[in-house]
Amino acid sequence: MAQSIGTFLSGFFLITVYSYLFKESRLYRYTEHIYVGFAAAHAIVTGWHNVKDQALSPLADGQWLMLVPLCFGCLLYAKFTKRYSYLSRTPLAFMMGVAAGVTITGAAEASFVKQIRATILPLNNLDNIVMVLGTVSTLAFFLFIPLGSKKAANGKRSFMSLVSNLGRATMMVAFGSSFGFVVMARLSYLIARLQFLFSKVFPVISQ
Amino acid sequence: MRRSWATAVQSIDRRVLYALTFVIVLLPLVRPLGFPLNITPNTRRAFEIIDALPEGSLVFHSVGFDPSGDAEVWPQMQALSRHFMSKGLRIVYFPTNVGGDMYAEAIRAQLAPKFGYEYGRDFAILPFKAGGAPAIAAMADFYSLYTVDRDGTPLSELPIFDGFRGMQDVSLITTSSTGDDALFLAVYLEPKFHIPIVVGGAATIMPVLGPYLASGQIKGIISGLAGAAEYEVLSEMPGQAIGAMDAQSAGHLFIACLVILGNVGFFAQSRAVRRKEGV
Amino acid sequence: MDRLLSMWFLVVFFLVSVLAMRRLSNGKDIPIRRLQGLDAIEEAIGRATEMGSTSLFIIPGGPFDAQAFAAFDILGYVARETAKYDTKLVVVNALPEAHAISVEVVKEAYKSLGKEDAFDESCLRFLSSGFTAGVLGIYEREKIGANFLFGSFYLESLTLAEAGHETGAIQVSGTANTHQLPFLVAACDYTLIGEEIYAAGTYLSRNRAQIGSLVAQEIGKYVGIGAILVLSIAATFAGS
Repeated sequence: MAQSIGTFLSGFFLITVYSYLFKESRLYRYTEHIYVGFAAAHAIVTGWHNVKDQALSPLADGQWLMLVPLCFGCLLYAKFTKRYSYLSRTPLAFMMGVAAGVTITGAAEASFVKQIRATILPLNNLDNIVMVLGTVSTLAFFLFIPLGSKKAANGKRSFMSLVSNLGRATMMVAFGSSFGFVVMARLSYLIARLQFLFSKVFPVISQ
Repeated sequence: MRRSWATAVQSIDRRVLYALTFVIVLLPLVRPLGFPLNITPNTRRAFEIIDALPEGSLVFHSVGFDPSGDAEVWPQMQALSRHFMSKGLRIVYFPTNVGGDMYAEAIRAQLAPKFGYEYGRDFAILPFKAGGAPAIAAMADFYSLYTVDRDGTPLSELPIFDGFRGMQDVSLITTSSTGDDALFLAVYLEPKFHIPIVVGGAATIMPVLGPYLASGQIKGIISGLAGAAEYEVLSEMPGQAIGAMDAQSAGHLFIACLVILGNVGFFAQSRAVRRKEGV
Repeated sequence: MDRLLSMWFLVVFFLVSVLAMRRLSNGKDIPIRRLQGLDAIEEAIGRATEMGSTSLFIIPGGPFDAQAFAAFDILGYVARETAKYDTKLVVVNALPEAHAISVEVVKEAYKSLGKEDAFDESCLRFLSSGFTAGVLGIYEREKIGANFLFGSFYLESLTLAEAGHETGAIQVSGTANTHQLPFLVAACDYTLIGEEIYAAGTYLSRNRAQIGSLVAQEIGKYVGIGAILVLSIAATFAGS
């Protein structure tokens, strides 16, 4: 019984959400508000579980070091008081430091050295030539500090600007292919919803 | 005359397009058309790497998606899990998305009994860890991150972790993710432990991983729902993805036709304008 | 071998950054080319002001990383411009920590123009898991003239950019998440591609540390270009 009510509600909300494609309606708005409300509630529950599982439970088991992240977490709430709001900057600074530190670790090797190594290819076939020229020209597109190019400063086309345009064109081709993947992904979402709607709510498709 | 035709094809009411897409995708679901399914080299490579693993090998599988992305990734996760279980591999699921553990639980409830898999001995589910990249980087020091499983049972009480020292004992990492799990694994774990990584994920994330595949940091890619269907064919264990492939192909054909039509209209209109202006 | 190379790469990167910062401290300037995207931001705010409509700034819920900080620099610039023209600015954040910083950034921008009283904290909104649906609601309820989307986007990018396009607003976006760039490029009037978002942040903030690291990145790119070209040519001849 509970399952059939759940299925019916899912189907109902699915149709109201898709109604947005035709026209924004009051039903769509209700669904949107209900969804935002549920999502907020879900976030609160999962947030609480994160704190409980990762800090409170270990603390109860005698891991006193967990007091440090807990205190840092509490300091974030100091933001809501005018007098002590400056205290919230400490945990924020800590989070920024961790984010920067983690990004640096491994990134140099995995995203720079190994990627350059993988792009060093003998220029003896079209694939390799496209790969090398595409990579080099795309890198050139992302040069931001002008190297005293008078031609560029005068608005004339320098060699670097030509290379950079080639880089831009390479990226646009890549974006086009990427867009194809997104069409594929979005159709998959539609198919999954239709499979649900017409096999569970209005059983037309056999599963 | 031509101009009005060219303008018309570029300004078809989007509601008409939505309705047509709806019908074209729905029809093959009701009555399959039997379109051929080509196996891409990436999926084949992913399958071959997993298929070559000896029985009892330990596989870590990240579950990085929630209901908003499950249409593509859940069929992949089922196809991969069926293959793991049919080969007798030991599996550890680690959720990287807050909604991920319910899918690992679904595998535990629905799939594991079919293959006689026993929780704790043949497979385990770790708890979700918030943090994204830092959490995956922290897996390098495994026991500092994980001490209990999802149910709160200490890992030392689960036979699957007997003799497990850390990530150096893992034979393969696979993903089912709509996020950057694969990227984080390639950046933070692969250089340290040289564990092969096979990626399953949303089709949108796949172009980003191409360079990592070319450099060998990622060994294989299963892309979107189509990748899941290909995997089901290769592993000879049909699931929900194959059934959706006709609808997917029909949808692709329709959208390709629209793109061509829109472009023909655009160029025809531009030509007519140039003619009118006498250029 | 790769690890050793990576270590040297980091050491050189660090040294170059420090040298560039010292150069700036000595009063010497390092020019950064102005990106067209910044002109597009000005144009969008100008249009929103003329129409008497709202400027919306969206910072999505990806990881709290460098992109979020570049977005804060751009937000500061947008807030100064909107404060200058008395245009309403609504900021939406999907991350609580980004929301806290956004409030400070916008408040500071209004303060710098002596318009502290015009700052309205209720215009800075935090939406958690229902972020995309919430933003779509804002599109419907507010009259949006300029829409800015900056930060680490994931699958919400196309929904937000496409629906934003439907509102008729001028849209300027930027992300370094390459998998989302195609959708932003297709649906927005101007997109800062990849690293441009960091360069824009640096250009606007003129922060010495950021300029220092930008100089080091530039040198890294030249090294990369040189290494790929020279070694590929060498590999071609070695192969033949």
